[in-house]
Amino acid sequence: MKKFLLLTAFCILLSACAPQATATQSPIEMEVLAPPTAQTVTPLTSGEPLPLTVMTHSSFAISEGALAAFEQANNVKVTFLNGGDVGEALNKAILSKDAPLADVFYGVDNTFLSRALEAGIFEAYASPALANVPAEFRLDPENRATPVDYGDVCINYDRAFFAKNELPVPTTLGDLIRPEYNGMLVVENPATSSPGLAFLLATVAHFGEPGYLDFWRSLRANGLVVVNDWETAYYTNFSASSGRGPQTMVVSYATSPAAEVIYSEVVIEQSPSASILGPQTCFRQIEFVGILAGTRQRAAAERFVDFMLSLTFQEDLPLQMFVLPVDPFAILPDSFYQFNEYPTDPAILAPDVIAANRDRWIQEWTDAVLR
Amino acid sequence: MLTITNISKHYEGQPLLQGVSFTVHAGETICLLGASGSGKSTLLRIIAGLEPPEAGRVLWDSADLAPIPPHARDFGLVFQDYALFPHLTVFENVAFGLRMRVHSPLRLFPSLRGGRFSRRSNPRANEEIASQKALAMTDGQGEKNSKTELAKRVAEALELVNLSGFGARRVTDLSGGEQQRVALARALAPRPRLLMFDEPLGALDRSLKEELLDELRAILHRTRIPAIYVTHDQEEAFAIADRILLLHEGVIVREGSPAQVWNDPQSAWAARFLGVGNVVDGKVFQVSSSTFQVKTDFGIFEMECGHRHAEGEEVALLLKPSARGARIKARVDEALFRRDQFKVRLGGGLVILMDEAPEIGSEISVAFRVECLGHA
Amino acid sequence: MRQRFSESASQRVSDSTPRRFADSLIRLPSAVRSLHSAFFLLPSLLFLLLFFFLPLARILSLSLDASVLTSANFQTASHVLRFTLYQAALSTLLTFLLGLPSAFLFARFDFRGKPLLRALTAVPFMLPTVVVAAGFNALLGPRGWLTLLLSSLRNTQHATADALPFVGTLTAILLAHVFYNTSIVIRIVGAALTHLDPRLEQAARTLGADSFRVWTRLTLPLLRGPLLASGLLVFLFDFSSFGVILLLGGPQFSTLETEIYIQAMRLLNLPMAALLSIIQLLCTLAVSILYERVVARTLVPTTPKPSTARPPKSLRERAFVFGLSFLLFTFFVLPLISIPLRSLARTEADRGQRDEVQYGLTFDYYSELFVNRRHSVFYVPPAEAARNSLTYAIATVLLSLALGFPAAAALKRQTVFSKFIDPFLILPLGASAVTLGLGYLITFNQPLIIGHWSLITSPLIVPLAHTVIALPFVIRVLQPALASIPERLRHAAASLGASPLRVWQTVDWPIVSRALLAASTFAFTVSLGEFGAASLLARPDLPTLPLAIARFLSQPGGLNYGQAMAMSTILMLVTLLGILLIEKIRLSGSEEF
Repeated sequence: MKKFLLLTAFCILLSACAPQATATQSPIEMEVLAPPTAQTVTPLTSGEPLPLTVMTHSSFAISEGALAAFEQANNVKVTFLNGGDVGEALNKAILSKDAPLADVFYGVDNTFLSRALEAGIFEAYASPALANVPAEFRLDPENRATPVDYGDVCINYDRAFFAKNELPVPTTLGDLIRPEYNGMLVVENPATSSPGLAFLLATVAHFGEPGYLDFWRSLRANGLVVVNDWETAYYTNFSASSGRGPQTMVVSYATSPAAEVIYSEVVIEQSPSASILGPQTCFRQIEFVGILAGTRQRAAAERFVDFMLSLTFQEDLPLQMFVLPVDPFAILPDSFYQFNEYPTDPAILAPDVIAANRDRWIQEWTDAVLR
Repeated sequence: MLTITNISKHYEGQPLLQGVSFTVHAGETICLLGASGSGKSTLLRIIAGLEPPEAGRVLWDSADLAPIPPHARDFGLVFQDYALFPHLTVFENVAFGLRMRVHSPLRLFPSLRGGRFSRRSNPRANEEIASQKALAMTDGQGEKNSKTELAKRVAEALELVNLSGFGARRVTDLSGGEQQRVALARALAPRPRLLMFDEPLGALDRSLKEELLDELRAILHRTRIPAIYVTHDQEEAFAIADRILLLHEGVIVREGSPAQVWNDPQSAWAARFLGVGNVVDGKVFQVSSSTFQVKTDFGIFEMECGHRHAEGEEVALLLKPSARGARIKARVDEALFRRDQFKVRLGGGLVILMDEAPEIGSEISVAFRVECLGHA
Repeated sequence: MRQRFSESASQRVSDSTPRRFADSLIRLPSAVRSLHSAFFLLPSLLFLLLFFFLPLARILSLSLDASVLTSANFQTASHVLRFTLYQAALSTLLTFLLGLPSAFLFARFDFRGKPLLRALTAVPFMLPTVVVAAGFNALLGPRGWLTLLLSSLRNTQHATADALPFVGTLTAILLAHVFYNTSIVIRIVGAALTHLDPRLEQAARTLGADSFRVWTRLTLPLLRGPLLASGLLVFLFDFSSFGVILLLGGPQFSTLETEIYIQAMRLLNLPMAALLSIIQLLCTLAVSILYERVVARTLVPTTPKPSTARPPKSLRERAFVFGLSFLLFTFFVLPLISIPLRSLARTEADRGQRDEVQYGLTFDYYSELFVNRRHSVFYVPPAEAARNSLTYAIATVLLSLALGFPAAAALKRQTVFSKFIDPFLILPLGASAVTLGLGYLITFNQPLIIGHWSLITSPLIVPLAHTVIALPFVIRVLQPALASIPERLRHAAASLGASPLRVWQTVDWPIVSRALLAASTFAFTVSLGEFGAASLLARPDLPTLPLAIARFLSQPGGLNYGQAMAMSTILMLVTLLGILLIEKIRLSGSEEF
């Protein structure tokens, strides 16, 4: 999903972009297709727009149109703060909770949710729009954190490489430790990267304790490559990305193959990569938004949470951040059906289990894999 | 036996040494005497191998030393300001050269040693090699032997310079004279085949200098190590040298025993530098078959000359007070007390030594022997 | 920016101590003098108490929490400590491997381009770590010049698979450390070697020592002091290196500094970070004390004529001089020149760019710095990061001069009081920037004034931290300069009828102004390049230039990488300008800073 955001604006600016792109694949077309806002809202003030600050992670993106629609309808001026990786951004929010840097925090996911809730950085807000959100996403019964989107962290592989070498694609996590895949997998450090943490949780869910550590030790023996962040793993190490790196499998997202098509330098019919979607191979991340405790813009913050659950934003999400909307009525772009497949049996861990063990698992993983 | 032939060297574009040649014979101490900056030290450094000459050769027993690095030449060098190793004790300073001869990886190989370090013709070679062997033995017993041998040799060297019992002292705690003795002991201890002294007493006061000079002469005499002594001080030179080489403008202008050099400096520069007598300028006035007549401010002198001169040529004459000789009358300008004599300056610039001071302003008559020094 | 410079200044202060001490005795009763200097020292002391010692005390108390002192934590800490020591020792060793021959080269030989080469080796000393990391990345990284070369040789269209394994390896860390610290060895050992009496070596040679044994038996033992001093200094910098490890090392290379950062900012385990900070502090303190002792006991026999350098003569010497100077030139120029070259070269498409890509020379990466792209990683144009850094740096200069000038003036005459207080002013040198950042995080995260203002979220926090880092340097630069103002000149001027203001203008100001300029430049460059504290403290909406570079470096697409290089180029040039300025002031003045 995420981080595929950077240069959408470029396509808008660079004239030569559009002619080569087909209607359904072009982000420009998607902007046009974005449905008009269905909400009937009244502006919060009539004078100067209210300032609203939203703190988020570096992968956050929103289309200009969607944001402008929100700002106009509510007479609010939104400023975004980039806090870095999800974990880092959340920690900054926690460390500054007595004098919050922002009014809204978006991007905390189910792997970190407990940390945010325990730190008490959010004020409860039950958005009326939650009615449309399935119960499986609503992990905080007190509604301090509101689910916005979800995505699956999966292993992506280089199609061309496996085809050319007539190598069978691994179907389970257990396959990865087979010698024919020696040195082919790059993962992110769970201590510094949220997809890395999600994948660690997938292995915990799949192998249990202490089996997951045996699995990781075997992976390590099988030439596992660990890097600190997703950008490096995907764009530097992964062979099917623009970086054409040395590793043919990477921990990324189920939506990454579609992103490869959309961001390809030339028009392609098929993604160079695909996800391994076997049972319990992926981990489902759910992202939440919350109103930061102590905000002085409570009303505008509520409107922003409502907006994130609106169809405008829910349908804007996929192509901006490559995540899936929690609203089942939101319509996905065609490319998400054309180039992506989705896991039917992702690994899931209960939030309280994650909360109780996350830091220990990271530490054990560090000792087993890095030291 | 050391022979150097036609050594030349420039310093910052100026000629420093111009074809210097001489030989040092077994057991002989020669002294290079010359003004500061005359290239004496450079010559020593060339002999030691610390600097290459631009032309000429340094030979030991007719073997060219050019390919031999300084550490394999086996020459001792004593520096003016001692160059003691400040991080080592007196003992370790003196032992330094001995240790270098024992443990050097290069010298563990006899072939290399023979090739690079040819001392077969050294008369002391056999004795020396036996001694080195004793130092070099490395088995348990031998190590003990080598240690005692080393201590013995260091003690000998320290005794030689009257510093017995100073071994454990730090060199930085010693006086100037003591430091100079340590430097001497350090150079002596490995029993080098040649010793070189670069103004070794320059930094010491007069009485200490004389004392050390006596000791040094005695040591050189006793050890029979040939030596080259470099100084600008003629008293030092006369005191220590078997033979003196006067170095002037990169050329050896006079060579001989102290008495020969003193009595017959053979050039105006040498006579002036040594302060032998009165050097007077004159003009050749008349040339006959074997004698010249030279006109000076003090009269016309007739003499024999080693050189041939043409009429009208400017020459320098040496006027030495002498019982027999030409008498010159002059007024006494000045009489200065000079230890047990008086230095008397006469009109026209002549200087003589007298036992009793004459009256200033009086006119006296002094007999001079007049010698020809050649070109002015 | 790292912490340098302190030693020579500190030695200088004591030079004329007796005279100044006597002066002070004559002029005022010492009790009054002490009060007088205490008054001027007060601002600095209060500042350090609040912004250095208090955070340090908070770290200490946090680290003594029972929940931290578990065996698992100790195991982690000991593993991290072991690796920190290991990489520091290895880096120091390699630094000496290059530094010793280089020191010898500069001390003993004259050759063409020597001043340039010497200046070149000194440049990394002051460069921000992000610039060094960017330099090595631009040269050897997956998108660096070497990779581009290999790719074009293999005809594989810029594949990172062609990259030699560099970024994320121990080699990268070691190479960057050597790059950084070789100049310490060259400066300290080279100076000693230049002043070493050459006759000692000649004496040893005539005594039968070959060149190898001249080194082992004489030169190295004589240089023991400078060797140890530079070794400890290099070790200290390698030990507390942060940016290099974070940006060039991989996840498996965790040193105390980076682990403090990860524990605090990624795992939110502040007590564990505090424990690591305490270990780090104790280690640097131990090394610093050792260093002070070594420096105090250093004795090198010197020659009255310091220059023993000469042109190389033999073939071996010429080969040595040519080979080593070529190696040094390559090693020090390539990473630095790679940055500006990379910032002007388009070698890959921007992300999502589908039109014809114009490879080759481009100025886009610079012009793009001023463009605010809604979807860029910061939601501000990168140029704003430069503006933030500039603002922080100016604030740091003003603050550290305001505090440091009175303190230096008070310390210029040694009194019992100032002697006692001096170490406290210098102590912040020992704490790493990351530790400082951590201390601030746990100390200032409560609201200071009722309502919504807290120091930790105020833009002030970064210049405050930078001032703590810069203040010891500022004092050390100003103090000897102020002390060097000759009293006699002042008296002479006064006796000739000059008013106090005139006296100050004609006697004091020329010296003071130069010292102030040097101190400001120093504080400015320290703040501009500082990475460790800023990475913990900078507000997300007010990133600094080094933070922006670090973040842009890892982003996909030619534009991000190019912008990272463009920003690095700017930062490098500004820092170089600062270095030049300091050098110029240093050279033009009689007083050495």
